Amino acid sequence: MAKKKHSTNFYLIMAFFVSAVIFASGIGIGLFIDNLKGESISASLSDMRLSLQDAEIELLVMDYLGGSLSCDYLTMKSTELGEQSTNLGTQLDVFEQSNQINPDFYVPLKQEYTRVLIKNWITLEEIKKSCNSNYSTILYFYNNIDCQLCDNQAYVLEYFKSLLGDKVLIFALDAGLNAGVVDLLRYNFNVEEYPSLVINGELYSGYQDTNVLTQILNVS
Amino acid sequence: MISIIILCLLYFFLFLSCFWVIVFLDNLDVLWEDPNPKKKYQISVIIPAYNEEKNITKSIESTLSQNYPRELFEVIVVNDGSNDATRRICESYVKKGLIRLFNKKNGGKASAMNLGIRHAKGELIFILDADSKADKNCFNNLIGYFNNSKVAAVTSSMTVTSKKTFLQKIQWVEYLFSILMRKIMSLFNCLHVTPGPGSIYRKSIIQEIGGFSEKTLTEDMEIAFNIQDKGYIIENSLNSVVLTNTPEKIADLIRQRRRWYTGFIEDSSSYKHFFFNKNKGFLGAFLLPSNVFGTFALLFLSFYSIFLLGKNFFKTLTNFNSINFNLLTVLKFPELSNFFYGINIFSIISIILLAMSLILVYYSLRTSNVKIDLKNNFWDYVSYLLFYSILMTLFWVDSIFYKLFFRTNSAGWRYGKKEALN
Repeated sequence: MAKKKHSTNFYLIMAFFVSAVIFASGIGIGLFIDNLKGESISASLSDMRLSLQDAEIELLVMDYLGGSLSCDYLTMKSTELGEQSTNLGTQLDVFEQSNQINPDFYVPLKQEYTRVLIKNWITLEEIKKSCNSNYSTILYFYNNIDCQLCDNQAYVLEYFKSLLGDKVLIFALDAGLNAGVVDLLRYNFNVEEYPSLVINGELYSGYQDTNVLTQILNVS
Repeated sequence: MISIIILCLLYFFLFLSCFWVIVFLDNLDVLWEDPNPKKKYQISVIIPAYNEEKNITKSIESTLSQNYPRELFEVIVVNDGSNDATRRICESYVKKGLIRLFNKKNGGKASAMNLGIRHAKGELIFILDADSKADKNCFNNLIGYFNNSKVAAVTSSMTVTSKKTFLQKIQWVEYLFSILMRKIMSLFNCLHVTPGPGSIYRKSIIQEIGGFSEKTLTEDMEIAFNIQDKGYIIENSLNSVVLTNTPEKIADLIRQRRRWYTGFIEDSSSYKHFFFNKNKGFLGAFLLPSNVFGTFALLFLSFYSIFLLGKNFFKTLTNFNSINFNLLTVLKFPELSNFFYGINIFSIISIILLAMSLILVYYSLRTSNVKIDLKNNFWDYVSYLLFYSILMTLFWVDSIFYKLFFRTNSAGWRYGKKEALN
């Protein structure tokens, strides 16, 4: 046969080393990007926390001044907060779906996000109460395990968000996250099945289709 | 768990790509060297033909115009019971004393070639499918390899005659890729097919091993296994170029690949003692097992991808249904920044594998001396990269079903023409 320059074993060993280095680099780059994603989400969480603190202080200032002049500003602020939490939630979702090797990597981030999200919900409920704002808040309880309708429910909620914009603020809470504060809310609202929705403080158990939500949210 | 399996399979393909690229780069300067022949051999060209009235003239003419002393080669056409004008066309050449013609009852390509070999006067047998054309320097480039008495066969670089249809364009890149792979494989003496268009054999060895099998679907693969089994060598020449026709339509292509892949299943089953057998060299110890494993890996990855696509399609459909298909409200472009959050280890390894494929395709083009014309051929390369693995999966599934449920023991002709299977 035509003479090759090196032995077969040489090529096999070389291929093993080169492919191992490329493969390890691929995994390394993947992990590095995971870290970047984590850092980016952490930074966004910090921003959201700061915005929340601002809103809380502004609420206190409004209480202290006893006027409703700042309501327009606070309502605008609540819209921004809602947008921020929605965007961050989407990023976390994409991150969660893409992270199939080490699912534990994003869990602490999601727990942190959930805590900030609930704080956000409370603040927005307070703004709503103080300013008599006309937006609806929805707490959406879902579970990633054994909940075939949860994906569908999330999609229907996205649809209503697209339809109503600032008029509805959605807070998605993963019941399987092992977060004490989510359990507390579940206990408080008697959430026993998934998906479940708490719309403006009232519990709706099970999947809610577009017809039901249209009535509840008064969509014309 | 599934993620780990997929990562392992991706690594396997990466390892194979690295192996071939390293071998190629290391031996770049010797790949084009054909040995100088120590003597001029008497060559018999055998053209087996079945209903080839459209192609046979070009095929005969290409052999008659070889840059080789005319007195040192003869052209034999074996007409395997054609019911078109093949016989009449060949007889016109016989009258001029240019070829010898043998007419026989239809019995399949292998039986036609065996008949030709029995009547051949040459020391070497050059087989040329009737739908193929040989470059005029084929003989000169091929015969030097027979200086080594262990060499039983030498294969040529096979490319396509025309690439009009989408499928032919994909096959064009596939054939170019095969040129590179065959040459590299020959460095390890692990060629396990000597294609019908343009392979040359040492007649004494072919007779010693019993000629072409008339039972198998792929006689060119069976004879290569047989040659390897007896400890002989199969070489390849990059400089010897043959052009062959490729199927234009998907139905013809499926039939052709059914014959090839079913033939591979049957021949590798007949020669199963090659597998993991160090005594059978690199072919037995590595190439055949990795080919079979790679095929199953490809099928697994393809089916898993189809499963995920189906699942997502069903989910999307359910979602659309739940909002009464009021899509205008929800359809929007995903934000570019979110793509960043979707990048993961799989996408990075897949990009690396794609890059390796591009490198191999690039070197295939260089090997085949085809001008790298991105402007005109860009979509051919892209189509190959995008659709080849899908087509491969389709062909393999079809062949496995065919083998399990429909296969009889008749051998046939190219594209598996029904008439010849009778």
